[in-house]
Amino acid sequence: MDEKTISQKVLDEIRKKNITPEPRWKFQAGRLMVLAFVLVLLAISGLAVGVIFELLSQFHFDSMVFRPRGLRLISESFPYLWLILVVGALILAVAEFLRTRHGYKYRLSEIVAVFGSLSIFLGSIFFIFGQSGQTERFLEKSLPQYGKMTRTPREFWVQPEKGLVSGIILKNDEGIKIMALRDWGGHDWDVDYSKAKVAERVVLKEGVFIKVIGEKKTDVNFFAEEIRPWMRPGGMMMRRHMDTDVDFPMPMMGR
Amino acid sequence: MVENKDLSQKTDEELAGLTAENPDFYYFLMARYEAKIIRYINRITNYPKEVVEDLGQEIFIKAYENINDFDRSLKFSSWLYRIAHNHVISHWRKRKKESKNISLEVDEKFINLFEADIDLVKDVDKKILAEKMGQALGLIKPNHKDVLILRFMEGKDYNEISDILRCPVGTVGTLISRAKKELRIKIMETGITM
Repeated sequence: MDEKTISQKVLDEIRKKNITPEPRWKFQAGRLMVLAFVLVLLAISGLAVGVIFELLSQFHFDSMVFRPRGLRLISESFPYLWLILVVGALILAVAEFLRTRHGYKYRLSEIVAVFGSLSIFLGSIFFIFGQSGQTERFLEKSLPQYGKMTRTPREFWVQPEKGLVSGIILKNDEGIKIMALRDWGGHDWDVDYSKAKVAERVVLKEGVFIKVIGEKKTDVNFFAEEIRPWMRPGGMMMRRHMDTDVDFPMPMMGR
Repeated sequence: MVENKDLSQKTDEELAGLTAENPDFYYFLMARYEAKIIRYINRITNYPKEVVEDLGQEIFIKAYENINDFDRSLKFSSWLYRIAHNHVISHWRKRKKESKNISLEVDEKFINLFEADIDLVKDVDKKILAEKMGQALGLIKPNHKDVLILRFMEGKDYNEISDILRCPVGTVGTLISRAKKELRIKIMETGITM
């Protein structure tokens, strides 16, 4: 009797063990899940990029770089945690994409370039429309550990030794150009702004939140070189991102 | 049992589509590839005949179980070779048996195809050359050996190799180029002067 061919043996085994093909929907579902995972990772990466943009805009890095020890200030305050999240999410997204049905056809450099660009594009959208600012503020309020892991705008802008203070105006004497400012930690400052460049949008009156760049003179006196609004510049869409729900020590009456 | 007379005109891809409904169609598909897959397994391993046949059966069963995942944008042969390649590699890793120093059988067709590419000395006895090339093939890196076997023994083009090994077409070209360089060095180490 002729020995069975491999084809015949396989067919016999299929019939004997009642082997059936896996259903098509299972493969389709698997592919959809991988694709969805890639999209989620790209969204996370984009959001993290947006938060980086948000923090950099809050830190006014463009002018910080020219200040004394400005580069050191930038390197200390750069949101490295968010950068790690961007890189981590992108790496995972690329790895998952390579597993897709057609992912292998593209060079790694091409995938990285496209995903990186997409991440920056999404981040810009999130930044412009305010989602990144909302995310950052939400984390700052909800996660006590967040402030320890990354420098928040409030922390950045209360570094009097480095010439940075911010907070709420308690009182303003326009005659002598000195105002009383309470910072986020509850410390009160007398800010001399007689020589300061005041940003156009800033109104120096009681209850307004501002950022001040200058020089600490004593433990209570601060000399202002520049005053900027606490809120970052933007159009109508920015108004809804005012810190109206900021948790702040109440100003003392009568000061 | 399905009649053979109507099926010889059907493409592999059509038969793959019919297989999901009736495994009898799969028999004719397997018959087309049985010898090729067994030969391919022999070329990339040094396993005994029984193990090779077992692997062949496992590969065809795996292909059958995954037939609904067959991507119609690929050639069926590329898809099947991909399953074969991955299954053999997986089996090799489990057994932790590295196929070092396996001497492959190299035929004149392979030498003729290769001659133009790596500038071999023309008056070397073809039989000796085949033996040395076979030895050298067994010594080069596994991924280099894979592409040379697929290209010059199995006759696959760059697109097919890209689909089988799941890498970009450009990478296939780079791999082949590097593989040839490595093979040339190994051949020289066997004593053949170039």
